[in-house]
Amino acid sequence: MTGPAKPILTIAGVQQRFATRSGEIVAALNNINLEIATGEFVAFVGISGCGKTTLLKIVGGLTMPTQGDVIYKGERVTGPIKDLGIVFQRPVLLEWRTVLTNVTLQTSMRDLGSAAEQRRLAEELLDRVGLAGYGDRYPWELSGGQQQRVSLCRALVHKPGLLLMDEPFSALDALTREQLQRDLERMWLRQKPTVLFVTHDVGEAVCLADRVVVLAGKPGTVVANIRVGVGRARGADLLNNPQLQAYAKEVRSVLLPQEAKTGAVLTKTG
Amino acid sequence: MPASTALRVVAFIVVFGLVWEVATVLLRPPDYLLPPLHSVLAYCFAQWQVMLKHAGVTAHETLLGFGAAIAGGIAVAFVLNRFPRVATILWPSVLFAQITPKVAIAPLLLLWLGFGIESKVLIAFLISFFPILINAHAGFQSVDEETAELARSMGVRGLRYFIRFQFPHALPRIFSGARIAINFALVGAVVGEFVGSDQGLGNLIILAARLLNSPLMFSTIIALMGMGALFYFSVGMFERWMIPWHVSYRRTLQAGKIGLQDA
Repeated sequence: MTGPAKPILTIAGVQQRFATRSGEIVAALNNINLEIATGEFVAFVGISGCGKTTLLKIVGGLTMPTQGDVIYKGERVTGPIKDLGIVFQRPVLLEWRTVLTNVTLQTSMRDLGSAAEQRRLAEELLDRVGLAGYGDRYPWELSGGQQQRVSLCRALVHKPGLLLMDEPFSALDALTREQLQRDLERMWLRQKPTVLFVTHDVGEAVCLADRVVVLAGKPGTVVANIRVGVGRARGADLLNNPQLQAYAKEVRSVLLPQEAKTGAVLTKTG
Repeated sequence: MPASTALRVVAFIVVFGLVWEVATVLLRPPDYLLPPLHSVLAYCFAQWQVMLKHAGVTAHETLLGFGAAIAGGIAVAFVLNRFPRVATILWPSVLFAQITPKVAIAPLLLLWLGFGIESKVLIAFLISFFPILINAHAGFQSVDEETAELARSMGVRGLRYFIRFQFPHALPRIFSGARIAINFALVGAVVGEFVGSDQGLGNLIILAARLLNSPLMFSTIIALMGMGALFYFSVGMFERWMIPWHVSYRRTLQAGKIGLQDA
């Protein structure tokens, strides 16, 4: 497959510059061009500071690029995308709301359906990530992994067309992370939103994504676009899947020379 | 307030009372300087209806001033947070109001508003307004970037963002301000009564000083302390009811259950 058949998302010549505190102009992204198909799972890999998060915010319409356009569903993005779901590195749950009402926050802020309907949808999702019966608890009564699951449910409960994930599992321990990767793949296969997934974990990227986009340099540019031709569901099983391992090697081979230049250390993945 | 705290407060009061009583009995200071506790309590007991009437006046002034400070402080903080352009004009006047010594202008306020409760309410308000404002404003400003982005991703803006995100987020800080403000308000009301009034506990203190009536003086001080404690703990109980989710009320949980990992 070369290039997506029917792009839902087009990133055209996107460039981003910041003014630092000292007034210096710093470029974060340079000339990013990508086409992403409906329901595609795309992972963005790169070392810290290459502008991955910035790109995610631009795509979601939360930040405007200095130059270039993002086209989503045929329209130029000028503000937050309507059917957007976001998962951050931290769970970002509202501490005054219960687990259930943190999930229904999404649907109630968007006025989607009756309260009972919102509740039913949220409970269904919580059930699916193993949090049945946790609805009345408060976020701080949950472990970090559980909190991030709630955050995932909140991002999916309104069936978004576009799901943005900014290093969502990088603060979790390895076992919890694997479990969440499996949960995510399962839920993605069910709903099939288009996913943009930022990570610095190569293993995670090849396990989850249909395509891995490698960003590198300052300002960040796309240095590789690797399609992961492995069937679903993969179950986040890098260890026992030589095909995934081969893709991981390929991604690393692109990433490593870049790393050598900036002197950063790539953590072992998988 | 947990039972153990209540017990310690009671224990402190008992010990304090004992020391007072024993010291006055043993050392026999002149009554007008320090009367023995039992005569103060006897006075309180005999005059409780009078005390209660005056306490009611002071409480009324305090609560009106405090209520106005809560409403006004939150409203001004909202405007300062929401309209940065207005804030640049409003901040200097807010700061000006704060650096003006309220106690020093109390006689002036009495001159303007008369000897009724209005002047006391105004002083109570002015003196308790600032802690509410500062805390509410800091609370509104301190919503983290990601939460704000989350709200925007859901299309939440304007007043809805304030009600659903900013205000609940700021509540713990607003209550911190309120705990300080409630006793400030009481001080304000009493100062107002000192300067000129015909009723209230502040009025009784001035009266007691003129008459060298030390049992009345001490009875009034005890009444004021009791009122201050009642107000303070009422705010605390209201806080506990309003924000049971806040970190300061999570003690009952085992630490092991909290597994948030910051990175």
